[in-house]
Amino acid sequence: MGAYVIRRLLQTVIVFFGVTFIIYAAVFLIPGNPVAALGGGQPLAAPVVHDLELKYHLDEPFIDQYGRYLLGLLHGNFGTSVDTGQSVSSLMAQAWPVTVTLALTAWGIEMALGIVTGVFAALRRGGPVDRLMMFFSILAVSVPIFVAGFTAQVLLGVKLHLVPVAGTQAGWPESYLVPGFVLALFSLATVSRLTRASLLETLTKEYVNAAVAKGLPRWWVIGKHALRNSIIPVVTYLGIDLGFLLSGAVVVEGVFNLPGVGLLIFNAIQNKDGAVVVGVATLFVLVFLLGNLAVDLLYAILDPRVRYK
Amino acid sequence: MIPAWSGQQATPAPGTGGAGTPSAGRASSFLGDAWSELVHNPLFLVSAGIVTLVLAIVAFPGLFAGLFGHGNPHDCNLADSALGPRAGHPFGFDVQGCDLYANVVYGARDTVSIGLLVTASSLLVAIVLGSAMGYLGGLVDTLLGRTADVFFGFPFVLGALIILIDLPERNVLTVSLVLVIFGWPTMTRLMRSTVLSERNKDYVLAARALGASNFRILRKHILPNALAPVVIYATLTTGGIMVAEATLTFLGVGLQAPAISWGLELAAAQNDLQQYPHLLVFPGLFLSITVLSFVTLGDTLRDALDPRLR
Repeated sequence: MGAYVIRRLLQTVIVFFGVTFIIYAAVFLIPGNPVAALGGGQPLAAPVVHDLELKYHLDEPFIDQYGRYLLGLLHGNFGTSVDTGQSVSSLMAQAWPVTVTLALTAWGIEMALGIVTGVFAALRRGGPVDRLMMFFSILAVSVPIFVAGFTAQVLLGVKLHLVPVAGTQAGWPESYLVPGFVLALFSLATVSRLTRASLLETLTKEYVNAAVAKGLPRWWVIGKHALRNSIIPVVTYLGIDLGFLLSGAVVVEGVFNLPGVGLLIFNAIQNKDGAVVVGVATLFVLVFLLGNLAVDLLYAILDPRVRYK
Repeated sequence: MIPAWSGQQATPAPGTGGAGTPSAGRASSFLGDAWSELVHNPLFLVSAGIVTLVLAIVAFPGLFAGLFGHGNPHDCNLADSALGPRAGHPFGFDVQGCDLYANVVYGARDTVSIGLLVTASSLLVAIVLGSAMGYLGGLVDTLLGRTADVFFGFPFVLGALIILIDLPERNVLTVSLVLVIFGWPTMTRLMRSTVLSERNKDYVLAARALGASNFRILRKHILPNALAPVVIYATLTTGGIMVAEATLTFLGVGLQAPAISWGLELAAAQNDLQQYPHLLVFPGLFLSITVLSFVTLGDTLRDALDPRLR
């Protein structure tokens, strides 16, 4: 166990450096001179250019600048918005609760609905629930999340007045249910298919036959014996999916105008405010990495075979 | 077009029996089995038909655009702005007064091109790097594996977003390139694990004992047996790539006007959605049906060619 944890931690550290390096290189090696841009098209005097380069450390070699950026990250400094002059960290701090609420709502929906429909599909193989989920899972892959979002918004919000059209004024759950469902669509289908496949495989195991042969009731065998063992891959997927829900939130918050971290990126893209995009995306990637690490470690605790791979 | 598709998919199949086992007769019967299963599968026939039609539209948009109205996506009249479907213009007009049907037909090209280009390039990268990693192992495997880990560290669309927002000009090539950069690791891992599982089989050892070079063993013996899973996976992801293009374009970091693509049409529809739903419905329908057909085609091919992957 110890060796596995150390190996996995080392891997995360390497990936962390790689990921931040790519992000940094992408932003700072692009064509265009930020100092010249400050001059608004007018040539700046040489001493002014020199001062600005000193101030923003632009005269240092690339690798020193990258080190400075890493140190900033460790201190929670994700950059400064060019548009508003506010620090990206403070912008994110205001917006974070909305995104967490949205992601957790979607997560709850995909967990509850996905597992229940998956179990039904497995128990009644070829039945209506199975066929419906099969169709639904292909549909969820084929419709872009923003098209699904707009459709739900117009039908449920504008035409039927069932839910608020946009924004978070109505609070939880009214404002979050439809966006959460739209965000969950893709993963809901995956969780359902995964539960179905895993449960079907477990049901062929001998210990399940043994439990049935002992005369245990059907619901007990399924709930207590089969489901427990077939749920591990589903739990793993759900763990990894939290990171994907965050990046999906960029689209969903843009469609439903929820003032979360995703909308922050969404608006920053429209305003060409690269610093905010990179700052928020960096945080998302870090959350994603740590989430994957946590899932792997948890998996190693749940299933000892993993450690010896 | 159906023979072309099946031919492309079938390339690895002869090897599945042929290169590994001495009997060539079994190989052709395996292919024959797969083919007869496919032609009796209505899902395959319908999806292959739609994919063929879409590819025809991509190749010759002019032929299809001319079916209704003037068929010129750039022939716009502001007086027609956002008018709904009417005689001669079955899909109506967009906000600029351009015929929406002609635009949807011409929009197929960029979206589908990106899907096919990204899939083909990722597949090529995966086959080369995956075989090298799986067959050579050692330092090559470690270095490439850790590099792949780094690209795995990005949730898919988010990584592409960070790079794309910095690019001054975005077209089919640059958007495809960025999608490949973040798309190759999954396929490469799959290819590596397949090659790894073939590497120590008896037929490979026999070839080595006979003095075959590494390259020859890889090319003639391992590759034909190891291609099927990654090729099938690739057909399954093509649809997802097209959705990714549309999503990135919607966010404002994908293709840019004056290019015409389904993603651009959907992105343009968002502001006037409540008054003019037809702007979203028609490109959305075309995109979804196309993606649905590609995914279903990949699904049926997988079931026919490699039942183990089900």
